[in-house]
Amino acid sequence: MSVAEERGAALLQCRGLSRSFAAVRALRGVDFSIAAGRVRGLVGENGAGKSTLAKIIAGVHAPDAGTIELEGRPVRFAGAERALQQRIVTVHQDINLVQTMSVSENILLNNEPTYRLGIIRRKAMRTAARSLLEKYEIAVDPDETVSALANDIKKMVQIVKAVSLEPRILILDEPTSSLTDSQVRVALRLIRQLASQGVGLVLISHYLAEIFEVCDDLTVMRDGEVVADGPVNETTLPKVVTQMVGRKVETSRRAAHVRASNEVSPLMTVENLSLSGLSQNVSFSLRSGEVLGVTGLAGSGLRELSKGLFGAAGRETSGRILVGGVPVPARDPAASLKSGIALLTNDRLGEGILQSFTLVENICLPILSRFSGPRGALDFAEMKRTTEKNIQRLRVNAPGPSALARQLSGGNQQKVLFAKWLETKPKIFVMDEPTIGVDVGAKEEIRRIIDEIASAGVGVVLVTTELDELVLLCDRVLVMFRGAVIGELSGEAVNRERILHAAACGEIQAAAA
Amino acid sequence: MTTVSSPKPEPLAGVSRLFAGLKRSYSLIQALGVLAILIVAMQIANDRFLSPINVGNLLGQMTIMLIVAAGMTIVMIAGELDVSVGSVVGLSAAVAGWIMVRWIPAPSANDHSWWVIVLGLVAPLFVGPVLGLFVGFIVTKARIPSFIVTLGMLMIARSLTLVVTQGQPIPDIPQIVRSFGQGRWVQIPLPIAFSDFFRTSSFSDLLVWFPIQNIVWVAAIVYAVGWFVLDRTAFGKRVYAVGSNRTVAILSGIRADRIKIQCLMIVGFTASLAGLVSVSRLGAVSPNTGEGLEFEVIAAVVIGGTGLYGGQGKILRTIIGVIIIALTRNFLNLARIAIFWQGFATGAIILAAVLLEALQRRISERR
Repeated sequence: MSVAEERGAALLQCRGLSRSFAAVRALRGVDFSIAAGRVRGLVGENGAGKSTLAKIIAGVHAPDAGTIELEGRPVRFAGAERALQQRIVTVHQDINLVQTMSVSENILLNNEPTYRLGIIRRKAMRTAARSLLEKYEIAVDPDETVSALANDIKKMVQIVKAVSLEPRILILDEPTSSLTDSQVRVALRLIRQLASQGVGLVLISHYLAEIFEVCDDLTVMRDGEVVADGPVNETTLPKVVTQMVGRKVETSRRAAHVRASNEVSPLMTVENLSLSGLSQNVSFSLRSGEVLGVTGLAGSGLRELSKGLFGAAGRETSGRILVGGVPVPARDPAASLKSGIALLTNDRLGEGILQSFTLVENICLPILSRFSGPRGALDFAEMKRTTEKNIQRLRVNAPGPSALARQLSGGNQQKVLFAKWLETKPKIFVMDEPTIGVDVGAKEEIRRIIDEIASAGVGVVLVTTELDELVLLCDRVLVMFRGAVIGELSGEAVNRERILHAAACGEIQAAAA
Repeated sequence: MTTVSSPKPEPLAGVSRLFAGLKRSYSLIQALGVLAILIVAMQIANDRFLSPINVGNLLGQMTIMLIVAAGMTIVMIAGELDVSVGSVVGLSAAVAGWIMVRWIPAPSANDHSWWVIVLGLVAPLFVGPVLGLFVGFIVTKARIPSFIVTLGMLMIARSLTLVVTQGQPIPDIPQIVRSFGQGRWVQIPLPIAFSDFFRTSSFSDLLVWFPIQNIVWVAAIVYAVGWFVLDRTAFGKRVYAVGSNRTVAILSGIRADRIKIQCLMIVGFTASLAGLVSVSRLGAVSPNTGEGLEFEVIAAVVIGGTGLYGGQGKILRTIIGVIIIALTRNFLNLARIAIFWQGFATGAIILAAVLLEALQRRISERR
């Protein structure tokens, strides 16, 4: 303790923080401290209270009870601006950049170098942005419009923007969830670099390996309480996992791979699919009961391909998709749905969940006609039953089927989306990062569900950058590189090293099966 | 989140459901409260306000706005806006008048062929939907905001109205049409006899058997159908979804463009229906029928709590918005306040309503 005090005196000290939302007690008497020059990991399952704690520190929420001391002086932030004035900066999990502005405009938003009368010094702004981007080795043109960037680059821009405010305390909420392995390296290096400059950091993450790699201290939360707190080197990964879930879980489980027999005609055939974002036409086939992985670095065309399989990739799409030998009308998501294709996109907030809609409405949206009676009236009782069944089956933590989606934590929203698509009874389920931003327990459950539906004969296209997921679940893996499918791995070749090599180098190793 | 997901049957389920229902309709109850206060205040300020004659005038004046506002609510929930409704009301009325009166001149107002009258009542109902289809195609295929497209349509339809009417009023609408529009065939009891009530203090004297205009029933049917469609059908849910997040809707297999076109056709239909109602009520067509109606209607919908960004709103609350605007205008008339101040009052009410809504949202977000 004395050593810690010498090296990094508590910059921020929270004691007994409590906070409730309606009937939900999100925090119950939480003690938490941040030391200058140290990185504190904050882990816990979805809904454990991590985000609430971070938002209280950032001044977004006021605590119901408890105290916050900044450098020994008690503080009470009336709004996020006040916390920002104290240079407490948060990088939110969701990308909140102004999409229509350029990178440099975003980085220096509200912090622009100006002449008198508030006229912006455009050149100085560009130079400042460029030097920041170069300092943290992010290869992006400061004049590029943000909406044109890939998700991962946006994330890096977002972090750089936060850093440009010269924070004393920097809270990173799931900074790496949309990043590829190599970008994670960059982000983690950036985090250590900031710590060495004396910044107090909080890293909220589901990626425990990262936590152990980069953090000095670790706080584990469960159900709104702190269940473990101490230096990272005094604990172990399995111990933390146990503390998070409160029970023992297997961290890895080899899936029972369904061996589809060769004589069965393919469930789905993709012929010369071409769309903007892909540099080469894509062709492959999928058998019933098969889990086909598609992977690659972020920006290699994964997003575009997954949308294209659902007919939602825009007007330039061409090529044919056949389901059971019957061509699916092109560029028409509704027709794709009717043909038995489902698509779970990786952008939960923008393309998935309707925040102000109930769970019933969210889940039943694609299948409303199923509940339409003879006179057009919807059978609400049946819709509710369907929703309840799914809430239980997927163990969604929600007040009830009539709860609004925004009342749920991110992971539970993801489960709701899963339910929505499973209810369409798909023959082919295209899922883009199905476990993005989901806690360890829910991840296991979702993976089990993927395995289950494949066993039931559904063809799964699993688009993901998570190697574990590919190794665990997939029969075959297509690897993409710069907008083209460069090859296929199957059988014993589906292992972390081979996939990583192919995705990063753009070539399948010579011994590929 | 520590709440339990299992739906355990609770002993007080009925009570808690009632309570939850009240809580959900809290804003509705609140709006009704504002309305009640407004009515009482106006009655206190002017005791002719709730007189049977004035209530009759009020209902008659309100009907057209009510019918169009129903369609406008739907289109605004879908995230679009139609500012052409005033002209479409005018054009539909003009088409009805032209067919019934000018097309084949009848010897007298009571001597029309039945098929001319039928055609004159049916054909105008296609005017709005056809224009809505046209607008919808431009909005969805060329991706031009509906505000701009319907602004163009506002001028086109008004000009066509002048062409059809030749800029002259069309009088002598067939008697049978007039007798419906001006008739009051059904009586219902209304609690408006305040002068009797204050004299006797007996609640039974508060009620008056009031003959409601036939056209008010038309509006009632429009709202009954509108409520059913928005609240109880798959189409309604899709309208909300499209207005809330188009991408999510499309990825859920909803043909968002088609829904938007259908909504624009629906608002066109309500405008045409309102045009017919105006013809039958006034017994004549004026070339400037419906002028300026669009912004009153949009204001009523907004006061009723339907946002300008789509995805939210309740059609029955629009009725309250319409009543509030109509009441204000009527009250100013009664109080002999110059007509020049009416826009000021309506504008102030819109601002107040929007401010109140924003304030409430902030409070509920803080909770």
